Amino acid sequence: MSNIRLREEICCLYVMLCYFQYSPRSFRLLEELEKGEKGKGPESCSYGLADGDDITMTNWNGTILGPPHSNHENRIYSVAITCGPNYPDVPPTIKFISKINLPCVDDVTGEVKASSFHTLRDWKRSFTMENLLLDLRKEMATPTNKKLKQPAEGTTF
Amino acid sequence: MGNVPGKLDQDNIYFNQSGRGAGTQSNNASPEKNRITRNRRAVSLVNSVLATSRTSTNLSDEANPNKRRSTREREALKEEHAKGLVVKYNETVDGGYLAPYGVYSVEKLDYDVQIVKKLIVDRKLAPFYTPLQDFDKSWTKEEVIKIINGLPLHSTFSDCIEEFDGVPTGNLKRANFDDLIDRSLSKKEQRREHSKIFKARLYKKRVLWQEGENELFLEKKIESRSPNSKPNQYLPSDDLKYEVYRNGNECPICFLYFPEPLNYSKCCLQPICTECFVQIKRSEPHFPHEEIDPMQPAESESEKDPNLLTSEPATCPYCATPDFSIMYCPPKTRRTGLGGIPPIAFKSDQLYIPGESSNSDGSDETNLRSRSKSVEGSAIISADSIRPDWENKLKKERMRLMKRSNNATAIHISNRLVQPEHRSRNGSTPGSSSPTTTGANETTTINELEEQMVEEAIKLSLEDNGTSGKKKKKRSQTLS
Amino acid sequence: MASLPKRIIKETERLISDPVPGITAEPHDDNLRYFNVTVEGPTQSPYENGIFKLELYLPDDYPMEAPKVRFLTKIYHPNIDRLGRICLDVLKTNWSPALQIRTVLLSIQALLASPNPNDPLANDVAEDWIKNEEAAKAKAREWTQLYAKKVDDN
Repeated sequence: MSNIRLREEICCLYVMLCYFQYSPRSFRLLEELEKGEKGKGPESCSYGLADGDDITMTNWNGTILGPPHSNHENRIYSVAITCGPNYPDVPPTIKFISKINLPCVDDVTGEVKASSFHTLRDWKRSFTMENLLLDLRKEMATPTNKKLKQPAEGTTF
Repeated sequence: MGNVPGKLDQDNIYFNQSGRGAGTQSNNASPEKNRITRNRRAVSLVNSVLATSRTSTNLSDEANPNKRRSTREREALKEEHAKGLVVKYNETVDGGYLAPYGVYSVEKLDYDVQIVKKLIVDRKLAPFYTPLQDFDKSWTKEEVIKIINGLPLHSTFSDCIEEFDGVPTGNLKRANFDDLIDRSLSKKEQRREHSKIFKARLYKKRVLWQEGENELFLEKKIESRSPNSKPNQYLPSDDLKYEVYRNGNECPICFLYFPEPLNYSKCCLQPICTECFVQIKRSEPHFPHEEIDPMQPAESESEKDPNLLTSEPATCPYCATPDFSIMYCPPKTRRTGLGGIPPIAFKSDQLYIPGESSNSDGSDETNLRSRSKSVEGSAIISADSIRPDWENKLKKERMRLMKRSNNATAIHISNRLVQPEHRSRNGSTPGSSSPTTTGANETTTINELEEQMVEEAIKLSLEDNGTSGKKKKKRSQTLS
Repeated sequence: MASLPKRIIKETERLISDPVPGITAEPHDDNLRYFNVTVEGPTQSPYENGIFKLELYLPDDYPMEAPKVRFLTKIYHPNIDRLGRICLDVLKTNWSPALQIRTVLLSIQALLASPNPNDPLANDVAEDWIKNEEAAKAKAREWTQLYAKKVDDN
């Protein structure tokens, strides 16, 4: 490619750049990983790569500590998060491993239903996996959800 | 940097020749009287620029880092700071401005605005010039003037900032925005929400302030073009536009073209524009980086002594010499705007010759003094001098960590007393920030002694307890 | 900032008009701050004859903040971890805004030529390196063969 053409192309793209200056998926995920690894996040949830060799950083494990003053108190819920190739432009999918009774969680598969969980439904690029876990925890603590009868501790989907 | 604002009376005169050629007025009948009135005007004008938030500067210089300011006070300071970053067409020095053009994002402009403005007015630091993307030596005077006429005061702002995406800002004219905060949230979350909204609002306000100045600038430029208008003394003459830009240099950091003289690094004499210079600062408080033995588990941050936190002075970006400083020699061919002649009065045949006006306003002396200063070293500006609060920041961070580690120790001890089977020392994983990972011989508090005693007791009880403790340990790790 | 800074435009132009031997860097079409990079393994290193893919991103605050760089090709090196993250001083504490994409990539190439197991990112690799350097280098050569092989033009 000649220099002049490159220059022209750069100039053309100049205008559109406002939309393309976001950090790419991989560096965004590395940032989240670092925060999770260093334990800089809140204590009530944690997350990390499911496979430390996976250069695509697609599959993640998370835990949520059940909120106090609810039927979830002292329980630790495991979840599996999948960040697809278009994350964070599109939300990740998240699935409970530990059995839980929550309206936004599919009672057969454990999958969090995007249509009934606001963080997934109204996903923004700036949201992180940490937001997701914390918001799920809040969901467990809402007045209607905190008294829901829960399956036996330690059971899985 | 021992200058006090009063010193401006002697050194700098605003528009000291009131629009006429340099040196002519000094032959008037009562030069003495003229000088006094002019000086008075100089003081009031220069001070009005510099003094807008002198109180806030004093506040931020406060020696006692223990004193906590209220949110309202802190927000007022931030707003004052943001106001100081607005480029104004009528605040110029030698063809440049007192605030940056906007090569770097607004959030990164954390230097002391008042100090920098004063350095610029005192001709100790190059003004913030509007940069050119490119410059061609073959351009004619007319071409250069045409380009300069098209320059905005400030670069365009981004309106798609991820951080502020979806943050409500409400009516910017109303000072109170508590109604935007969700009352059902916890106190802590409400505070977080408050600061997010404040930031987003401040950004919007900042954009509006600058856009207001941009419009004013444009209006004045259009106004000045109509044939029967009075010349606007703040706008540069065509001669000045050409004089400023015809000799320039590319800043090796932002790759933009700036008028000479630029600032030069003291150590290796490389040019650096003021906009890049104000970005260079000492490192954030951090623990010293050591080469670690990979065979040993790494220490976690929470185990380290807060007093070890350090912050190294900025190094020269070009040659890495510590304690980065720049030198600046003001232009000899122009002295316009604050502390000089009105920009509109500048004529290129009327070069600024120091000797000519020495009797009337003492600027010869000023010029000489500033030049000799740069030789002696007192007009050298260090990166630290435009952020004098760095030491307080370090102290604050140390105190924050100390507080946190004290809390952690307290929780730690109570945890062990409640769950005596909790085994921590052998189970600590590198990088884990859980308060149960304790480094030996680190803290010297009384807590430490107490802790060691408790730990001894736990060890003994563990030996009886066998493996049952291990399972619990594993669980606690998944949480940490 | 709304538009691409002049600095990035000029650096990109210069990288293409005056490329560094053994290194390529090309911006993505849809994100001019995001580069596809290849680095040839230095001669007489265990990475010789390998071509390593990397990705490089210039954050909003570049050049006041260092570029973010990561290996996409698997590599056995004490300062590069399993996710391709690199432990290199100029990418962290010793970053200077006078450095450029070009200089960063040259430093990475130099890191391949002289690993530093005393300041590791991949602890297990560093351990191997210290215990038995020859065996570690053999493994690095093996990985280069496995993952970073030059694709023959013919």
